[in-house]
Amino acid sequence: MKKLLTVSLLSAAVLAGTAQARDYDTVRFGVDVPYEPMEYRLPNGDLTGFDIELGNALCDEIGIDCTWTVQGWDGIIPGLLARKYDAIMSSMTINDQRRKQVLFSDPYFTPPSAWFAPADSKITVPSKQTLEGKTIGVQRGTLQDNYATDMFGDVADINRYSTADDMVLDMDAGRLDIVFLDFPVGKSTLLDSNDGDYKIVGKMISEPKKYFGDGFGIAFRKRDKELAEKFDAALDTLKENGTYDKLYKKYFETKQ
Amino acid sequence: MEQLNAWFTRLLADNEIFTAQTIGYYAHGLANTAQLVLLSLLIGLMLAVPLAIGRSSSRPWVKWPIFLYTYVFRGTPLLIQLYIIYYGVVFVDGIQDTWLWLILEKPFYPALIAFTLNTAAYTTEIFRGAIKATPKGEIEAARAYGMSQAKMLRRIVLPSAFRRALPAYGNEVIFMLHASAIASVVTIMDLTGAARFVYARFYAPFDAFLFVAAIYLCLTFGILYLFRYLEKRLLAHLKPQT
Amino acid sequence: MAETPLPLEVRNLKKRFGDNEVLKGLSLEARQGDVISLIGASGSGKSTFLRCMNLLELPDEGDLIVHGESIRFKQTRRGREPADWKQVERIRAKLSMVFQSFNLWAHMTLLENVIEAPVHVLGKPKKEAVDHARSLLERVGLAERADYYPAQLSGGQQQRGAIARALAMEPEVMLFDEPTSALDPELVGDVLKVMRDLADEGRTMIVVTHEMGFARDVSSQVIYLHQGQVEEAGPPDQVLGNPRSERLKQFLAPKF
Repeated sequence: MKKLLTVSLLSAAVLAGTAQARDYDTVRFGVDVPYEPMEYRLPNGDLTGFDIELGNALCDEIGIDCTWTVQGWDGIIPGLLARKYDAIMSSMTINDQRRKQVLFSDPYFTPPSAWFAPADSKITVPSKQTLEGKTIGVQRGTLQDNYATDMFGDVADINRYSTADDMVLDMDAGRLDIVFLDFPVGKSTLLDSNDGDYKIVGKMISEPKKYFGDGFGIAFRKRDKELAEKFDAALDTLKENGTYDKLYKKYFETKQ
Repeated sequence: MEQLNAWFTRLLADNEIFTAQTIGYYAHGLANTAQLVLLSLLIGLMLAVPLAIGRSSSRPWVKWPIFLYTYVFRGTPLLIQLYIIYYGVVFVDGIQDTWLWLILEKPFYPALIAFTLNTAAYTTEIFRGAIKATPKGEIEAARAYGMSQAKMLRRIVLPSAFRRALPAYGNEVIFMLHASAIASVVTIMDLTGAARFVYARFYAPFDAFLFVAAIYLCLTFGILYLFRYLEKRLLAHLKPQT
Repeated sequence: MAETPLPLEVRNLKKRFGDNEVLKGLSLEARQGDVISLIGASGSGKSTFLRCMNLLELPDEGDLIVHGESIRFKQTRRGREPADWKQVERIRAKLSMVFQSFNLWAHMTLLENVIEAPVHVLGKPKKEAVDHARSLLERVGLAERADYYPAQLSGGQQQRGAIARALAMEPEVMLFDEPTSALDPELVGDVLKVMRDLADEGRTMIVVTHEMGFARDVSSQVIYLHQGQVEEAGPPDQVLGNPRSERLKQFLAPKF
């Protein structure tokens, strides 16, 4: 009798526990570093960047702690699903493909993508003709990778890199004719830090949605709906009280 | 049979991952892997023979440089060797203007160079050990019958050593096949690179990597079979009385 | 009057290993058809003496004359070395050696072992070498084993094969370094029989041996060495039948 009581009480407790969504008082973020200026390391090793600062600000607003775990882009979603961390805030574009696997917050930033090439490049507009036989650099698994592969994969060589770092390295080395990146990142790593060596080619691109999605969002496991809603609410608050604008100005001097 | 066919076509059409495009990537990856591995093994082998002979020499100015080379290339991870040869060389001022850039620009040759130097180092040590283990008596007999050093090397020491080295070299071949999986780090679309592409695009680690693992297994099986055949033929002299 | 040169002549051979003087001035003359047995205790230098004759060991002093040709030496930092290794290789081809541990080449069949030196050192055409080899193997009783590998043969068979290999070179002098010491007693007889036949044919042989029966019955000359010096030398019935020195008497006495 006693045993049956204990068992039924325990199972009730377990069931009750699973009925509620998990309450987080620390959220672990997964982030792919470096991806300047969204997330990168300072010389002393500290993480910083738009995502990092915005993420920390959001957590403050919600009233929880957050930690940041560095994870290569290749495995960032599987890592979330495997519970290595609880959210991804790493310049991840919201799109249908990813929606199948994760739950997204509202978009917090919507940069376009842009093509960057050496300043003396003859390419004026990226197209199948101008890119024929050229070498295009992208970061593996990004929307830019998908877009470039589908659009130009049959006429150009596409070099896929694990990190944005390696890609910039090869760009500097002269191995790439052109790269396709999120605009802020390309601006920060190629235009701003190399005065005059590089330029934007063609227009900045945000369409079609199939590839370019709906802006950056924070990714959560599908069952963490409550947590996502908390972040959405916090984002609204930060936009209203000016914190968001301050951060935005700090990182992206001119609004796009 | 038609049922199997139908199932297969349906599989190809329905699923997102094993489409004509991705199968194409896998095939391309297989070709790249095979090319890289075969070429590096072949060239590495050709380098290793004279290097192993030199390594067994008594002259210090021959022995020590070779030892240094094998020490460095066996003592550092292949990944690091690859990184240095592909990304690292760029930091040599003006290298883009030299003829070297013709081979270093695209990732294939740097990878080939790294793999070749690596396997040559290991193979040199394998052969050196095998050469050293040549029975002293056989060497004495060769000298006693008037063979010059070169002839003795060619007719007695090397044939004996190659046979002795066969099992260890088979291991090295398999090792190189698996080591080649890092080629995608320098953007080469090899087998593993194809798997990473599919994984990154479709978020399907199991599908992508299990498939490729199966291919590697088949390749390994082929290598094992080849070496078993070679051992049977070349090591026949060790079999006890039939 | 032109004299036919002696097949082998050794004058005043000295050999030192570090501080240890192993050969203290040994001389020997082998006439055509001589069978010279070298006997002595271990350490007496008999093997070293034999191995100096085909320069597997390099004597520090002394002359070596094979079929009238004297080996030329030169003084180097490391000591005395042959002046011309090609000469040494040529001379070695005239002196076949049979080893205590047979030393057949393991990765070759018996037949291949026998034709190896004639084809690759003497330059004999392969067909001729094979025919000759088969008749030699027949002679030593190994015709059916021609395609066997050494590992598949008994010790006695290997040694008889080694003798066939030695014969294939049609040597001036045959050198035997304790040919039966590594054999099981039952197999010794077969090998000795072959050697006896060779002696009967008139071959010039120098044999380091412990087989006193062979020395007594087959040799034309017996040399007893002690500590690198010739203690006694002469026809077998004199040296073995009527030993003069105490040491030799002791050496020959039955040891049980």
